[in-house]
Amino acid sequence: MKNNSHYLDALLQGNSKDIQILYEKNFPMVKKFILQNKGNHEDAEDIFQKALLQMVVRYQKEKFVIKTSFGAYLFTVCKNLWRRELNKSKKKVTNQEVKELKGEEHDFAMAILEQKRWELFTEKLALLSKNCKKILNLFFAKTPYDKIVVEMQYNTETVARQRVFKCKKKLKELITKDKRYNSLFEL
Amino acid sequence: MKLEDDILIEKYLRGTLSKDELSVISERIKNDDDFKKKVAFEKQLFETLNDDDWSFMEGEEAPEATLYEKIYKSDAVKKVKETIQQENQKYQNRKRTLFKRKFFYMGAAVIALLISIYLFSPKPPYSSEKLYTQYIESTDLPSLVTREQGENVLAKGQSFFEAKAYEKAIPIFKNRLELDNNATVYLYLGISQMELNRFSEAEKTFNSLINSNLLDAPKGKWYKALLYLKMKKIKKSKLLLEEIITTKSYNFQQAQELLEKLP
Repeated sequence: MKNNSHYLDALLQGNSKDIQILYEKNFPMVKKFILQNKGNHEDAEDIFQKALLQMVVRYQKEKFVIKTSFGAYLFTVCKNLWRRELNKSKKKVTNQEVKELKGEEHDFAMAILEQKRWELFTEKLALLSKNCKKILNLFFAKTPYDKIVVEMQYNTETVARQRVFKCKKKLKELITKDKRYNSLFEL
Repeated sequence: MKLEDDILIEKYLRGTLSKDELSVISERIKNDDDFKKKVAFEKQLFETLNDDDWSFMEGEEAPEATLYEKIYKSDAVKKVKETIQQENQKYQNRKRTLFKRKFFYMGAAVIALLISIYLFSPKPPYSSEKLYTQYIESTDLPSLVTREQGENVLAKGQSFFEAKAYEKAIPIFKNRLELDNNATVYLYLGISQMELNRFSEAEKTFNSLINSNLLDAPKGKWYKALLYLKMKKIKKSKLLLEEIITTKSYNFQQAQELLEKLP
């Protein structure tokens, strides 16, 4: 099996054969995800290309290491780019106008930074205890407290709130301690 | 951060604050930088770690952003972008062709399957019962109703026969045959017996007709052939049909047709 940096190098060099392998192995799954989430085939093609290019640009600047399989990482990038597309409409109209003026390269760069922030947050979330991860996942998925109480078998909502507070505090500590945080935080 | 503030920010981000609470928190965000930072961080966590949401960046003060933009605009990346586009096109075209080919082969396979089913499937099994019904119904029987007064009893027998009340019809025909030989009455009697599955009686009746010196005696053979068919004695039926055909006796054309349908 080829290692992850092999594909990153191949992308950087525009190696047709390897790009075809990446398509064969990963495009069907990405397409399936996008079709299941309000997208169409063209969206899937667009997102997949953007994801590959994002990795190229990022790898050009920093030789980042992919800790999972290449396919899993590529899928995550595609998934996040699609989440980004779906949520673009929530941004304020004025902001969008500003973005459009700044051009696609700015939007592209923002997508990389946002992806990096997502990686930092999820990486730190994974370091928490099993219990903390479970309660925070419920919390971020906007699960009401009465349901969290049942799911986590707590006695009261107050206990659940305190637990969320503590776990979130721990997560924030881990994030802010990481040196990547400073360049990814903005007001 | 205190738990109270945490709850307040959470309510703010979930949009569940009252109008008054909202104006208080807006004021705090405006005047308290530390609080503003806390809200921003919480918002980023909320949006990033919720699968249905996404946390956007403006990148106003991110030096990294400028670098990424620069790389994105570089000739090398532009070239890679073009290559990726071409490879995407190649892949999609290949898949479309494969899909079309697959569709074509699937269609061809279905057609081939349908043809082979048609060609090789066994012909529907013939039913001697069905053939019997078909031929007995298509053979015309002469009427027993005559203008002679004494024949009224026979007319009654015929109406019983037509109403399929064979039990009632049989004694009438038998009585009539005791008086004299009548080919048509033999046929009515034989058919009635045959319909009631009294096969040996029917066979006897048709034999009596066949062995008589009546002009219509050969008609007995045709009905006897049908009797054997109903009895599922196909071999016997076929022998009789062949005899009818070779002697060109009554109904030989229908006999030929029926013979071809038998196994």
